[in-house]
Amino acid sequence: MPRRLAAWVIDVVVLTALIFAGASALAALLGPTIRFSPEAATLASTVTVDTSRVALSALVSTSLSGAYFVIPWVVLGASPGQLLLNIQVHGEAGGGALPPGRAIARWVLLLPPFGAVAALAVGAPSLSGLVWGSAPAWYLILLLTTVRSPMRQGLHDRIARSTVRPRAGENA
Amino acid sequence: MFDDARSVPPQARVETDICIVGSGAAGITLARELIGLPLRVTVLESGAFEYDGETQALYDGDSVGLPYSVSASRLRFFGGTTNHWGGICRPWEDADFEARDGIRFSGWPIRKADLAPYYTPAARVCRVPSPEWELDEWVRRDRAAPFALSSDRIVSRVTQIVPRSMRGFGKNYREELRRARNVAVLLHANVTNIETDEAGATATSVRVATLPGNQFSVGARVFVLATGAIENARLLLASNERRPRGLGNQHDLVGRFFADHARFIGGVIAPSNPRMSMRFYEVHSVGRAMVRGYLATSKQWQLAEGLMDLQIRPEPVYERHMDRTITSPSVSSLKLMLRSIRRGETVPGFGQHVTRVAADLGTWQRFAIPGAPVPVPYPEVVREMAGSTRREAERLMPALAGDVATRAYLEYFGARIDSILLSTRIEQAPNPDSRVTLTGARDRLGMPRVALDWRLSDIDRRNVRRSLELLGAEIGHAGIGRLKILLAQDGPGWPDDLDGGHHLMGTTRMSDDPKQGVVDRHCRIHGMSNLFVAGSSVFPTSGGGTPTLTLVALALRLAEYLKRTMRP
Repeated sequence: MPRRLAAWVIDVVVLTALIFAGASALAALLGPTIRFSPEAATLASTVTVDTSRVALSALVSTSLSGAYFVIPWVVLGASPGQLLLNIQVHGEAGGGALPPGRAIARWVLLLPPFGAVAALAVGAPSLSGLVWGSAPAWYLILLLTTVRSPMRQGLHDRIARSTVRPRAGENA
Repeated sequence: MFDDARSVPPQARVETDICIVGSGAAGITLARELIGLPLRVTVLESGAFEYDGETQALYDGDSVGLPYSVSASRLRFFGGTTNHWGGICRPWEDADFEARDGIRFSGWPIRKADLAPYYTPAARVCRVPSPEWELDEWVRRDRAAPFALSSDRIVSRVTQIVPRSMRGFGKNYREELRRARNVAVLLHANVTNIETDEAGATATSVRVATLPGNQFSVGARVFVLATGAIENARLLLASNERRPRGLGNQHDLVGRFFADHARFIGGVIAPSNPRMSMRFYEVHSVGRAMVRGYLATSKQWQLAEGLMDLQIRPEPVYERHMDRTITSPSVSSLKLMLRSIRRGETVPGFGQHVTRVAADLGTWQRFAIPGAPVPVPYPEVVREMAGSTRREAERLMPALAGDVATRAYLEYFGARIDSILLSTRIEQAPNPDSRVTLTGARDRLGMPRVALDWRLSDIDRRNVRRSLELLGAEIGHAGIGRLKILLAQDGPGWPDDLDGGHHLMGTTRMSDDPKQGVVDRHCRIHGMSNLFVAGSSVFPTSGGGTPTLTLVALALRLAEYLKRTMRP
């Protein structure tokens, strides 16, 4: 279990860095999403957000996130962090790597909560404020269901019918 | 009980023991004190339970002196002017009742000791949260601190602010008066004249008129006028059938000495430390009480220099973005929610407040890259904040983090102050030329309308200038900042922003000498056996503090006098 958590932290840090780099590249190519005018006459114009650019950022970062997890799970049976710590994601029945559909389901259940809330913030700030607490709550549910399961299958694993195990010859 | 004067038959005569004219702070206080006694009490109120434009228009008059809103400064319905009362309270001090050297007509015929027993019950009537008034005690309880000044010339004082929901006397005491068997409140009853015996020494009845047209009279053994400083004078001056100059006006004093706490920005401080805390001088909570500090010349110094009192409220002007945050709707909503939770009260539209605060708390999410596994800001946000000075970053903070988060930041690190305006409220020196008179115009009921000639004098200018000079020296010495006095030393004019504090006082002043006052120390009109005045119109001087607590204490004292002297 600690190794799973550590692998998750590594993946999140690496992916965040990649997304930040992607956003920097986009800003360099197309100009910034956020513009600052501290001396503007009204508070609303002190900081302005380009919503079309937010949509593009969301698309790019979601694609990066999906690619980062789904492709390695399908092809290598583990995300980069899991590879580093010698653990693998299998189908529930054992055997090989996850098929693409179940890998995507697992990614959807694991990754987008915070990202979705951030996207919501642009369109519906009050709703976003209210649901913000749901993202940490969701991760807590996943953690608790994983810890309490004999097979260490959290809710996301049960829905995606996946299990996480040490590589052959290792103890997780 | 409540009744409607419009249903009283025309030309009827209603008999009672005590007739109270007006149901503002003084009238209601007096009526409550008489509940349960073997005396019939009738309260005559011009309006009903809500504001009504036609009734309010009976107040219309001319302002012929310094600018003053004759009608808007008071309210003519049950509860009177307490219906828009600011709720600021502080009992007056010994020196407020004493004569000042060089100030003609100053000094009361009674002392603070005469009124002291009534202040605590008055505070209960006014629903003041705490019985404590000593500065040291508040400083001990308060996280905020007053200016540390090195001499005793300028002092800080504390006022308490009655919560908004508890301010209206009409709302607070309506049910109690409805249940009172010996008290009848007649609504829609406008008193247009006080009738007396032939000698003009005893009031026999008051004439009442309603807007629909019926007229009747109310006879009583004792009459108490409690209609405020302008209307008390108006009614006495208009009741001139037996006394051509009006009742109580044998020495031409009724209507004179009108006073208010004139207010204007008297100076501005450039603070030495822009992040100094001004919390003590802003409205803030200490336990269950809302308080606000102010600065004043000390009473010893006032007596020594012959100065009248004044209140100087330092009003910090925060940088634009900070100022907007401090007064933003989401911060107000959060405060309201927290207060309602703390007090276990319900707040209308609670859901709306929650949504507003949630939206504000979610502001920062607009600047997080959507799709990232954890909230991470856009690179340009990181760059902007990293390259900003603290001041620049603070300017961006409300837009990036929201008003609630910014307010929390300011609470702990201090908001940047551009300047501190000194909102100055003065006790004006007694001035016989500042007065209420009757005009030739009449209202709908045939009552003469009033002209208010509100005047300040050179004594007032000297008083403010000298007090601000003392303050300037003190804050300079203490390293707080530099004061620029805005009030010109000479000249006839007063600042353009001069306004009344809506504390109408002094048109039926109290004095033991009938040549210097309209009422005696028991609030009875000189030369009349049974006509009394309640309210701040009897104040011979206006003190530096707000008048409500003192006028309620005086009404309690008058009630006790009536109870003692009247037999069933």
